[in-house]
Amino acid sequence: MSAGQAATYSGLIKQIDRTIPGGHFRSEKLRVAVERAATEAPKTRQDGKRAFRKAKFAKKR
Amino acid sequence: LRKPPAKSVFINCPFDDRYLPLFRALCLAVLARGRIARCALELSDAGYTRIERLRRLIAGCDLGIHDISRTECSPLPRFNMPFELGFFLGAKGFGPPLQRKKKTLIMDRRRYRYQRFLSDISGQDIQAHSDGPENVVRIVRRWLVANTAPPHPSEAFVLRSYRNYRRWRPRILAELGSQRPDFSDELRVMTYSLKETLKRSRPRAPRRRDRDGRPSR
Repeated sequence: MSAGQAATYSGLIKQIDRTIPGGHFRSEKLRVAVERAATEAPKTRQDGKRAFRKAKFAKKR
Repeated sequence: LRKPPAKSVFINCPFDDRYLPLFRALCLAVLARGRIARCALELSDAGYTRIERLRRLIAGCDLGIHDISRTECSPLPRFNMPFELGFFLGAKGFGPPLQRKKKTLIMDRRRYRYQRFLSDISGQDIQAHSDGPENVVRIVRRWLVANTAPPHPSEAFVLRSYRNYRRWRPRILAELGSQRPDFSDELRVMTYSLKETLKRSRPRAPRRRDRDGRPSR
């Protein structure tokens, strides 16, 4: 996704968040919870592979 | 009457625990396209009969996704899904001009299985998801690309968002102290997961190059 597309898309998602009716979670609390989950969630196999490739490339250079 | 959101998709599928992963995949694929998923789970107004509430819900959605895969008897079969599909097709067929623009996606477990229990819809392009949540994401995304205006997120992005949401969800709910959120809260968790995935996959700035055009360190 290019930077321009990402910006348009980000606006679209914000709009959707405002339009969802009801709900009990407070936005700020939810944002912090998602950020924390994204940082602390266990790494996937794909993440491991990516890290390995990165390290290998750095070593070669 | 509260005016329904203009860009919403009616979701007609089973809501039992066995179908839950597919239902979540379906909702996330809809949200990823910038549409709101609406379904019978949000019908709680006791002032109207259930059929009236359903009618209002269907009238407020220009797109409809129907999953008719639940045909098992436990101990009796559920007829709500084929009924709501008929209701939606009826609105499309007999409604005022705005309702006739409705678009429909019908999914089943296997491609031609529906011919044994709902042969009246023969000739429509039924999509098979083989009970796979990621297949549902792919099918719904492809259908929304064909039936809505851009911007369309890539398949890779939507799948990555779905995997992230599935991975992050238990931690998010544990932190918020809610084990079984209602439909609106679930949609908001999905939306924030999409936002976070987008934030993490922003394209990097192009690398600086030296005079000879080689990337500088």
